[in-house]
This record gives sequence, C-alpha cells and structure tokens, in this order.
Amino acid sequence: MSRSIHFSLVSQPIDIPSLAAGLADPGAGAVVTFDGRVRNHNAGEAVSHLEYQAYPALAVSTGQRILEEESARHRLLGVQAVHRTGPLAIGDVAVWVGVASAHRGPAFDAARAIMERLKYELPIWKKETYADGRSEWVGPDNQSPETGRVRDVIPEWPAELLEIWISDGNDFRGRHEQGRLEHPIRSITEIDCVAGMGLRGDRYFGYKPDFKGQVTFFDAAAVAAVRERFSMPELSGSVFRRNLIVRGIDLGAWVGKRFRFQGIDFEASEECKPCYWMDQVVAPGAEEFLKANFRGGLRARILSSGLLSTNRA
Amino acid sequence: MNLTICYFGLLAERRGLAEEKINCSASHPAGVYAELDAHHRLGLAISAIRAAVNDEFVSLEHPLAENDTLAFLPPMSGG
Repeated sequence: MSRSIHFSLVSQPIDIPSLAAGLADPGAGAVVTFDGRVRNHNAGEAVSHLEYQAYPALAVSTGQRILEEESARHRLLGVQAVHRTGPLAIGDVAVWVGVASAHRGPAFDAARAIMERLKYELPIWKKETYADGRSEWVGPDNQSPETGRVRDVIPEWPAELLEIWISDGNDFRGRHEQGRLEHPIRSITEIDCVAGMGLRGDRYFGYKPDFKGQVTFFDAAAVAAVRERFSMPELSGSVFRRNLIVRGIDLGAWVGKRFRFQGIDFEASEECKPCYWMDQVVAPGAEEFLKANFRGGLRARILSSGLLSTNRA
Repeated sequence: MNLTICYFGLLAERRGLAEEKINCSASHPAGVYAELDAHHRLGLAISAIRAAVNDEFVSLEHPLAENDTLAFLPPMSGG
C-alpha cells in the first residue's frame, strides 16, 4: 500500500524535481505527473497574472484526505500534490500532482481523479487580473462542460431528508447462498457527499470509478406502504439498506436526470431494484411489493461535494 | 452567541475584511449568513456557499457553539 502520501500548500515556486524524486519506488512501473500552469487567457479575456488565496488549515486537511482516498482507491505506491498560494505569473505552475503505481492504468486514472477533486474540493480561490487592469474572483471551472458539471441548469428537489443510513460493510450484494453478513447499519443526521466517490463512511464509498450507486434514495412513502402491507408498523427504515429516506419527491420521474438536493448535485442512474433478500428481512412478498411503483428507490452518482443534513429547515 | 467569522475570496472582498468577531442570535451557519448578508450585502446565494467550523466542513444547519470560528466559503476555484 501507499508509502508516501503528502499534500502541501506553498507560497514559493513548486520544487518539482524533489517531489518527483519522492515517488521513486522499485515496484512502480508507472509514474504520472501533472502540472497545472497559469495560462494567458480565460473565457476570452487576456490574463496578465493571478493570485490564489487559500484557507490553509482546511485546504491541507482536505488535500491530504483526497490523496489518501484516491491512493487507497487506485492502490498507489506513492502520491504527492502541491498547490501554490499568493501571486503567480503566466507560465507558473499553480498545482502539481504526481502518482506512482505498479501499472500505467491506475496511475493515469488516479492523477486525473486527484486533479479534478483538488479543483473543486480544496478551499482555494483564484483572482485573475486582466490585461486591461480589471481583476475578478473566478468561478470554479469544474462547472465547465469538460467535466460535465454545469450547475445552473440543474433543478432543485423540493424534498425533505428524513433519515440517513450508512453501513461500512455490504450485507447483500454478491452474497447469494452465502447467508447475510451482519454489518451494522447506523443512522446519522449529517453525511459528507463526495463527488464521484459516494458517502464518506459508507460501504460503497470509492467502490469503483463512475459507480452508478454512489448513493441510494428511498421514498418515505414506500417505507409506510411496506409497514402497512405487511402489518409491521415498527419496521425500521434501515432494513431496506438504502442511504437516504426522503419525502416529497417522485423518485421514478428522475432516472437519467440531474438534480440538486440541499445544494449538492446528483445524477440519477437507475431504479434500485429490490432483491430476494427483502423477503427475508421484511416478509415473504416484500421483494414483489417493492418491485412495483418504483418502491425500490433510486440510485445516483454524486456530481458535487457537500454535506446533507436531516435538520434542514 | 459570540463567534469569529472568517471570509475568503469574493466574500472577503465584499465584506472588506477577512475576519471579525460578532455577536448574533442565529444558531447555525445559514442563519448567521442571512444576518451578515442583510447587513453587508454579501450578495452570494446561500446555496453557493459552504461553511466550516473550527477548520472542518459542516452543513449549513450545523449547531454552533459559543466562541466557534465560522468560515464562509464561496465556490472554490483552485487548480
């Protein structure tokens, strides 16, 4: 596993040779490095120079966490990244990422994933000064079509979040005829949604790239319907092993669409089809009952990072 | 409740300072932002902002405690 995982902020030019040397590893068949440089134009404007402001404590802890998560996900041998702060000139390296891996596939994938996450999760802000002397704080370019995150056309869900359930293990999936594992599922009031990864702490966090079920939504009306149909008024919302129990939204209408919920952007992928385990954990007939009327819930990818809360007014 | 407020990027520029101590009646970041926006015309929608308390991300409904340091973060633009 990773021997060297390090993120830092620097106010001086990035020392690329010494960072690259830190990635040396006899088991590394691939080292990918990327430098993001200050370009002389942006959105049709001639840029003369720019300045980065950071929230240092939070930027360092966030950057370090991104590297640790991506390192584990891609099984890297080493990873280093640095972001500049303060004034920079055209051509300066603003951000540098280097990864070492046994093979080139994970090395390229990890370098790209880390860069994308650094751009929209690090609390760092860029102020551009243009050739004509004006200057402006820049909006995040992770909202560009290149990364598919065009925030302003995404409709907001008029829904309420009632319950959040996460589990650090997987009880059902791929467990055919092996019996159920007893991974505890727990209820929390706030959850950290990480773009492209999932719910921090959940069993599907970083499960695989572009995973369709980074998060699952379940309608409170379906919980109520199951309780009534099977005369189980006390049945917990946890038995369905879906993450987010919501009220006030027709989940079936959102397959394939993007939506915003509590300021976080999601893309619904497909119905979360119930499996025969539902007959065992609820009652015989539960699987069939959940198959109707989109009661199984909705799977989605997370497009932007943020916190969801059950206390939202 | 007494709080230290930190502003970054566009918000620091609009407020004209990076940090201030305030006393306010709101008990969560969304409420505090609404008060500050009303006083200082910060101008960004709450949906565009993230909050951090004592150097960790929190939700906009996170319950605040006396003497917390609350930071308001406009949309990030690193890289």
